[in-house]
Amino acid sequence: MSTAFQTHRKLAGPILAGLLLLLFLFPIYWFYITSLKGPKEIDRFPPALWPEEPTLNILRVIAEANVAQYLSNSLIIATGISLLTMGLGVGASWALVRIRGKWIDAILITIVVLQMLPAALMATPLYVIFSNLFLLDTRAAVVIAASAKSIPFVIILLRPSFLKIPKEVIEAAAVDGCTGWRLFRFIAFPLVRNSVIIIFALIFMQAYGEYVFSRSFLNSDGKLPASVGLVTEFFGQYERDVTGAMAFGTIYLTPMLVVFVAIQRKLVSGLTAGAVK
Amino acid sequence: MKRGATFEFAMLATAILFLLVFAGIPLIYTVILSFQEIDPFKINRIVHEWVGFENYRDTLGSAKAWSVFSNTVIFLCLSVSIQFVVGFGLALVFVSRFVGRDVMRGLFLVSWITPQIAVGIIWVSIFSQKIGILNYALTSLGIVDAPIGWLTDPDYALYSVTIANIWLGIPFNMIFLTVGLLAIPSNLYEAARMDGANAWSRFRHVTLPSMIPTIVTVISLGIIFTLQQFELFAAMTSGGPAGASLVMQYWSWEFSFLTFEIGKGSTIATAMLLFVTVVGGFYVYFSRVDDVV
Repeated sequence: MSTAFQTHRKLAGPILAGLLLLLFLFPIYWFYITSLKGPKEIDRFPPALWPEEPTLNILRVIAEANVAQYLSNSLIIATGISLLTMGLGVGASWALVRIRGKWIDAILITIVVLQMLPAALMATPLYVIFSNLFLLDTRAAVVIAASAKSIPFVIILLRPSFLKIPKEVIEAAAVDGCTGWRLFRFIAFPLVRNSVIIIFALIFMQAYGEYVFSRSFLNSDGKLPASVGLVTEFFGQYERDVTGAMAFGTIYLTPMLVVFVAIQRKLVSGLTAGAVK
Repeated sequence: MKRGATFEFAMLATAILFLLVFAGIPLIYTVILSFQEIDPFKINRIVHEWVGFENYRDTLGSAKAWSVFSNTVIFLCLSVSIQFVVGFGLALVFVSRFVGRDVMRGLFLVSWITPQIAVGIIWVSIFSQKIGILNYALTSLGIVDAPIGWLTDPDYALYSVTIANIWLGIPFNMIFLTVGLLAIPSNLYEAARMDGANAWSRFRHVTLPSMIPTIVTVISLGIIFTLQQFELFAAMTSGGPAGASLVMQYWSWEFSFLTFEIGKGSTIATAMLLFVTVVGGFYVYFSRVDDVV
């Protein structure tokens, strides 16, 4: 009796958790299913839970829209954002551990607040500034604006990892004459490399979905990322091609989902390592 | 440490300079722009025509302002509270040990890495009045008699976007709260049990007090992420129908980028940024920088 009860208890956790997960993932399932529905099927009520006339809308989408162009723009923008963000953010996180003082606290507080500023609001002043700098309708404008938004985020996530490096390690290195760039490059950076990789992945994935700044600053078709293309090509105000949007979406999303599933456990630990003590 | 820290200072100065130019200055510039009228054809100048408080009268002083403000507050409060409660519930499920726990927990994050504009489009197809799966489920279960216009009925549009936003926000609530729960020393529970505390009073007197810092962090992050939300509105309702789901951040963007009234867009942005900065101040004050950063 008691063993039966224990098995029940053992199973209750995974079953409950699994059901909740399935319920939560339903929109993703619905997304893939819809992308496979036929042109008549999509307007049918009740909606089919499984495509009855499976259609490869992907082929139609590839023929209709310049998918490769959109995806390469998304990749260019995401690469630019993550490189610029990490390039400035990693060094700043380290510096904010090494340098102490009252004004450092002020910088940290400012950084926390900067991270909260909504992109949709920052787009307005940045639009006027970029216009004066002749940067409108360039992918560089999107990269700069989005990086200014994510550098504070990197500092918040990464600084705790630098803080965890034992003082003795740093002191020992300093005794050996290892300071400045070399201390960072050969001692500190290798110790936080895993966090840097995880945060890089996180920033890249978010940048891959960047929408607000691209929508605000870009207008040449050849420069738009897939996030904007998804709306302009298939989800306009007057004409909506649901299966087309979903099919385009699967091309856009699937590579990211595959990477995500591969690294999700590390992502969780990287996200929470600093924020919760 | 001051001596020989040139390298560190250089690293910090580069980042600070960048943030100053592309975040700090724009922030202040928004306020300046809010007192100007900007001719979209003569945008390439720093100072435009000064109009005093005209933009403020036309936007924040208009009849629409109150409904936009209350939409923003409703969206914020419902999103943050419901995603917190659901996230906490899930965290309590995921805190016990079982096979596949970490994998299942991690998979919840999928909503977090999916491009939000795509998330919006997925929810449009779920909420669709005529062909949406949600109306089908509700009518066939007998919960509602007639299909609801989730995105087209002014009474529902804001709440539909809120539901989608809650879906986006659940995972980080759940994950941060699980980590917080796991960090509570088990001897606290043992001690409480020895004192004869039942499950509820263990939750009330051990779990909750130990979780306060995590709860503050998670709720603050929830507020921050919710105030940033833009893509869902863009994909699902565009603030409609008839402004029923219009929130501050979308209103501001609509002025600047759809009707090209940059001065008015800046005015709403100024009001909203002020609000965000106050929230940010509370967050920093209550959680102390050392805990946050």
